[in-house]
Amino acid sequence: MNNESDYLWDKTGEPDPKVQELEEILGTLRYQPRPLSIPENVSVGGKRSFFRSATPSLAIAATIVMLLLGLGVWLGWQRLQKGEPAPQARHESVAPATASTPNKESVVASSPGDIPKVVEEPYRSLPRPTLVAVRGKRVRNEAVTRAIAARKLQEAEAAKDQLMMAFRLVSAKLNYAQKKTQELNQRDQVHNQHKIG
Amino acid sequence: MYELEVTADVLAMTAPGNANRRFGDGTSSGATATAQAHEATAASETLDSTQTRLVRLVLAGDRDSFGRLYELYAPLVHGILLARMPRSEVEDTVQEIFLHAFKKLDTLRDPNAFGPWIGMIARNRAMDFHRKARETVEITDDLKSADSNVARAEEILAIIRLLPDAYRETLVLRLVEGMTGPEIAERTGLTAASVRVNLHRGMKLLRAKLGFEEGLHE
Repeated sequence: MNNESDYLWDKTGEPDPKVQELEEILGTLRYQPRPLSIPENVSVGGKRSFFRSATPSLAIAATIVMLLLGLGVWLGWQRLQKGEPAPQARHESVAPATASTPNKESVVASSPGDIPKVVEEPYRSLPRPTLVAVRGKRVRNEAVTRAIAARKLQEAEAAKDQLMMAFRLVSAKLNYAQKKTQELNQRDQVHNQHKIG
Repeated sequence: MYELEVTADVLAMTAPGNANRRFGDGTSSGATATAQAHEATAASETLDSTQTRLVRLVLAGDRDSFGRLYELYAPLVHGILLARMPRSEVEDTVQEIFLHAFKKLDTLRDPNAFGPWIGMIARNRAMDFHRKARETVEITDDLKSADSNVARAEEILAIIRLLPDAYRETLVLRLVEGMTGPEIAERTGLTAASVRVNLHRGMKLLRAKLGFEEGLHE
């Protein structure tokens, strides 16, 4: 067994005639050297198409752009729904604060010996003149405003639905891109699967 | 039961105290065995450094170095395929695998693992072949070679293919490709102990299936 084992293992020791016989017969099937021909246009790393190599970054960029567009549209509709003017117009319509405008906080002393307390006053206790004017105008045109608001609400709802659809599409595309990227990585890597013994 | 017997025998041979039995004829001194062990280790390190250097050269753009890698590892790939696929398909598949490996060499993380890596590609390719071949016609006897030696070799190979994966691959590399156990271990990335066990168990199963007492040339 020892001689046979040694010969089978590293061809040392006394040759085992049966193993030698098998070697002789099976040796006829041995690999016959043959030149390897690698085409000139083939290189290490293969020919990776622009689309394949740039897919993940393109998908991410497209997703970000779509998200920004969606956010812009949504904010625009929100503003329309509330009936707010554009940011520039809103700044112009607000009247400058006068000296008589009360602050949010005022100092109150209940008795002569007490420490003055800081009492926070309600923000809307004294409405500013401009806001009063706007409110009066709204009261006058209440019926018209309601009709417009109802229509805008409907439009906003439709816009919201569209936006949600866009978000779903973006999410699906992002998932697809992520899946593709993982597939590419998995395909190119061979892990320690060679230990079969 | 007999597998346990073989394992015990193999373990006895691979035990540190019995190192001389692994490399010599049983009467050689411990110093000789140690020297042979050092030689085997040195040879292994040389192969490792060679394949690492060659892989790095190929990655740097030297295509000729891949030809050297092909010379070193083509017998391994040939043996792995021969243990799993019809002989008529093996030659072309070896070329395809090396071409594929050349394209994908940049994905090999450890240049020292070229052997195990290309071996795995070969095993996967053989599995793909069988997956695709299920619906096609099987290779029949009339496609076999007329040469009696080759025909007999193919018969034995067919019996080897019936053995478990690990045994048949190791046996083909040893008996067909003519590699020694240490060479098989180096090229496949398996441990020497695993290869030794696979060789002995596989050989015992093969003997049982062939019925050696009747003779091979009947």
